Amino acid sequence: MSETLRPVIGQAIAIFIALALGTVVIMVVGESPILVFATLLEGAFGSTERIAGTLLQTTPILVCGIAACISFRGGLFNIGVEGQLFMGGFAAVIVGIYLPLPAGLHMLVGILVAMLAGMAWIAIPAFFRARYNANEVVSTILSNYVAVLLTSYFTIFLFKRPGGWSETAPILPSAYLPELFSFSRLNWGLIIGLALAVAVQLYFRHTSRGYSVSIMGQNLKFAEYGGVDIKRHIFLVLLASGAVGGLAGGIEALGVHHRFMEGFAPGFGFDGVIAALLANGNPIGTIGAALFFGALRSGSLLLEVDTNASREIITVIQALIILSVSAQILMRRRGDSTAAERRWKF
Amino acid sequence: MSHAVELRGIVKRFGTFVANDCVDLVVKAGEIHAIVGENGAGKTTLMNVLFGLLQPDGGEILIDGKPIVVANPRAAIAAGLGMVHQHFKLVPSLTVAENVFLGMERGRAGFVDHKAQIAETERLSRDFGLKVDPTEQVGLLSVGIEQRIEILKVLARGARIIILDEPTAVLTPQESRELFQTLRGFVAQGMTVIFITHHLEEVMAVSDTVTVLRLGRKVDTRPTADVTKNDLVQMMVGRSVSFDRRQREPSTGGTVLSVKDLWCRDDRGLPAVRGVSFDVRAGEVVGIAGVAGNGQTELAEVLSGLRPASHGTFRIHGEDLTAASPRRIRDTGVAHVPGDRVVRGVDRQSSIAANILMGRQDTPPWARGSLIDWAVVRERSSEMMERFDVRASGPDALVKSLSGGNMQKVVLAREFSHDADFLLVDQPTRGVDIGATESIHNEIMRQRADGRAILLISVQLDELIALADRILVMFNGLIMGELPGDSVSEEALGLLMAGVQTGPDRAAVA
Amino acid sequence: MAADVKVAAISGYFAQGFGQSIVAGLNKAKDDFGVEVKLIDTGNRALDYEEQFNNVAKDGEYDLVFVMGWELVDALTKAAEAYPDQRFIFIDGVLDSDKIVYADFSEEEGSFVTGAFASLMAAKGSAIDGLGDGKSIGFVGGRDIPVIRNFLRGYEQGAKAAAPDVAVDAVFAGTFDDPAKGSELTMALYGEGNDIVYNVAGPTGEGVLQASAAADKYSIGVDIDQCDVAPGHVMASMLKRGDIAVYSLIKDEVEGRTVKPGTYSFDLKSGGVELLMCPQTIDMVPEDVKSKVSELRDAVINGDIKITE
Ligand SMILES: Nc1ncnc2c1ncn2[C@@H]1O[C@H](COP(=O)(O)OP(=O)(O)OP(=O)(O)O)[C@@H](O)[C@H]1O
Ligand SMILES: [Mg+2]
Repeated sequence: MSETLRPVIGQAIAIFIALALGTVVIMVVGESPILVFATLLEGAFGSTERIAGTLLQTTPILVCGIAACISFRGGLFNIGVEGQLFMGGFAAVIVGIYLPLPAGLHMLVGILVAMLAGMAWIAIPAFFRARYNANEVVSTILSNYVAVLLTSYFTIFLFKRPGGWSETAPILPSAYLPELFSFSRLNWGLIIGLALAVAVQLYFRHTSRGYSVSIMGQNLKFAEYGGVDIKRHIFLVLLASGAVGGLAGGIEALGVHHRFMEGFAPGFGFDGVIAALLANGNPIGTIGAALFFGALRSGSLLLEVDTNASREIITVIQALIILSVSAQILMRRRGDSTAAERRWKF
Repeated sequence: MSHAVELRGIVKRFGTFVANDCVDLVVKAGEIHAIVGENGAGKTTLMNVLFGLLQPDGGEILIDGKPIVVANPRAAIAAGLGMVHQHFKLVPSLTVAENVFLGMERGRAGFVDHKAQIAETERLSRDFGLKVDPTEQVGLLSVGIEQRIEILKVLARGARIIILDEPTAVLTPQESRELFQTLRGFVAQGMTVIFITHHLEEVMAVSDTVTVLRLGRKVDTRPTADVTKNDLVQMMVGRSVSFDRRQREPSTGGTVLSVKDLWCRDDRGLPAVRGVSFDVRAGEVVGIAGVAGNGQTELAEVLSGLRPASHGTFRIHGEDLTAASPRRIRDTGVAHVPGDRVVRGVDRQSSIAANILMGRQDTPPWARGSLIDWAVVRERSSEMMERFDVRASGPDALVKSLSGGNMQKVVLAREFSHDADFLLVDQPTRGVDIGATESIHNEIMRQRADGRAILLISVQLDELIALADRILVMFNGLIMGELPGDSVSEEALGLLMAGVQTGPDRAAVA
Repeated sequence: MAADVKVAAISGYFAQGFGQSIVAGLNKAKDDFGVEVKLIDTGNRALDYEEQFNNVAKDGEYDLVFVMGWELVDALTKAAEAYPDQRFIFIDGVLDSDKIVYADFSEEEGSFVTGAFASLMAAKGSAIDGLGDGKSIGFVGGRDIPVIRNFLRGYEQGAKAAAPDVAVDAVFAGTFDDPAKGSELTMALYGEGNDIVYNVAGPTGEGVLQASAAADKYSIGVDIDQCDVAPGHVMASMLKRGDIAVYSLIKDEVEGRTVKPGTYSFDLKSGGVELLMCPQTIDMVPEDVKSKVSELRDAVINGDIKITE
């Protein structure tokens, strides 16, 4: 078995085991697994609109996944993608509302500001990781909560649309990220995500800095010995990862919701991290993983209407996937204890 | 005498590559059995098959005369086998005792009984003369001590047949002698020992029987008493090899490296290097001898920018680089072969080409602008692999699939091909077979002839005597004395290494 | 006839107070009329809402679709446009669209009675166990949003009508999901001499009720019967009878009085809102308080008292 194929097959087996366990759970709650899986498929891919709906769910998972991939490649764990997404989305909305600019340019500035906001949000964890070696897992996780609560606070107390629910005013149409089709909210964000996945993959493979970061991610001491400026690269990798997390928020804000509100995009950051983990930090693989999770999400919406199974079943299946994939990764890494120590240590 | 281990017709393939080709091996109970052969001959692979880490593609394994299937190391341990690997598998963040009992924790009611583990580690340590402090954190210990822990791990699991893969590669002669003492103790208690080595004098000194592997096949198994070192060399590499002192022109170059009163601390914050001063001139090999753990590694790390100096300076070509980054030091013309190749020297997950690229990823023709030219990287890597005799399927082979010696050659290929004026070489032939050792020695001498300044740190005294123009001896962070390379005895070196002062003008250091 | 009525309900709050009463109404309708009921939990993702409405409305399978939660308003409005034949019933509020059925509760009327009750009790002062000087009563709102303001308005006016000397001390937690915050605020209110605190704060309000037990003071529940949360300390619950609203709308439909877009009001008169005095504490409520409360309640029902904006 080739070295590149082995993890893919391992991952596939892990997903298969999770689905098998999911089948058992479905039977325990008294539904027909065949009906459930058929409905999931129908809900995810049953018509053009449904496929578009699946891709709509896939987009933020994909972009968040790429953000996570970037950090994984450098041997770092940005678990704060969720927070960067919220900050990016919020910042893009503020630009969309208050900074009237010509169409197109307005959107670009909004996206840019979203990325800057994501970057700013990870800057403190990144600084402390680079300078004082403070564990970024903990600091980025904590920063999630702050971001979600802070944006919610801003929305309610400073930018709330008069009279409405907890949401801001809508952004100006000049800031819209254009939709791809008339029948769906699916927008250019998907194209951005796909292009970004390819770009990141090529970057790590073909540029000097990408190479340095990859090596740093696999063996930090070797990279240090080889002359890679570790602190600087750690800082930059986390900033880049945060920027992409912010981008995910910008896409959701300017492409889908056109405003900021409570429940803006909860969980996508975490799904993205898991998708990236499932893809072993490979951006191209993350496309597949994100599509898988996106399909589960959109399929589950129909599941709830057309069967007696609750949507929570999908949460259970997802949790099972996470478990079996992490178990699989641990098992694979155990044979190589130096590597296990180095990378998957949290 | 009964057979502790019998392997019959073991075949192991990696893809199309045959690492073990129908190997038979008989190890008698209560003997010390040496296995020798070139890098990549299949020694480690064979032992991994025996220990259940690899599944053979053919053949049979018998332990104590009974055929068994060794499906995994657990099964091997149950059958009474224990293995100390070529590259250690310890967890740096745990203590010695925790590592010894990792995966078989002594405990009560689900809680680890640390006291019992410490006591038992102490007992094993005493019974077998393997001195360790059970409460110390492994990450802070030297390789020599790590090896003792690995052996303790094996003993704690009740092994009767102990396999050691190149145990002496990381040890000083003194430590090696102690290890052999320990191994003799094992056989005296009825245990059986199999060990792999590249040092034929060790084979001659301790083993009862020796097996030679070559290109995946067994050449022969002989009672050690019936063979000479030269016979073994002939069997292994098909020619004879010499390790005599190399002839040389006297060096005449100017000073390249100049170290003045240099101090630094180790990972625990204790002084490791305590005020050393010396120069290395162009076209000169300066050797540093010493028992491992006396500051040599830390000195090398300071000189390569990986560890801060706490006092003093070092200059290269007159430029003060004491506070410079590793990058800057490399750019000034320093290449570094690190002492611990698995941790520092390579990235095991990457290809040979990606490993050779390290340090040059910004330099043409390896990179054009900020883009890496992988075609060039592969091509150059192939050339270097040929020149340094790296045996692998090609530049895309992952480093972790290489034999230990070949890994080391990848490091040497990368570092020696930098156009550096100063070569910092730490244990260059650790784990390298005798044929390759000879060619590495040739390479070092060629670099010397090309006018490079070379600092050679080695625990191998014969290596220092063969190569060095001058030998500095380190003990306890100090340079105890300097001996000329052409008229040095191992005895004189040994005294200095033990901390005994010889010069009349120096005060004794206890 | 009746058996082929099918209803669905979409909300993210089925597990919480008011949502539970909706579920109760749906279940009662199921038992009594044999209607088929489907619950659809929206979760908390804005991205999902539109798709969920599409899925429910796509086959025109459900005669009535109950919708609860202000975050669903956009998706609801869109769906009402896209599926003009589908009757959506928005519970607890009125929106702009004329294609939607609205079930509106007069929470200000219920809160008026609550305010009257609380202020009368407080005015009794130390005559009642655990009460102090009776100068003011407390109010903990979830967030400062229009609906909650509506509750507060009724509460204040009821207090004023019943016991003009008793002031109302109102605070907002800023969140509906933080019981700890609710407790904290309530403790502060108790500290300032408000011995009875009315919560209109969802899960945050649980903290209010628990604080009353911890501090050995009193509280008032909201939306559903919360007397059991802190028995002996919850004096009353202002019920918004989601169950009655849902049940009566389904009943209309089943009995041929087709539910049409427009506003259906549920007030004191129709039993859509009411004040429940908790059985655990009812014995300590003086008769004159009971009669005064019911007198004021009747005045609202008759229209003698109007609650002002
Ligand atoms: N996992 C693997 N995949 C591919 N090839 C492998 C793998 N493991 C070992 N090999 C190859 O098998 C051959 C034998 O390797 P082995 O490690 O047994 O050598 P060795 O005799 O122990 O050498 P050394 O003295 O250098 O340690 C080598 O050429 C090595 O590259
Ligand atoms: Mg080996």
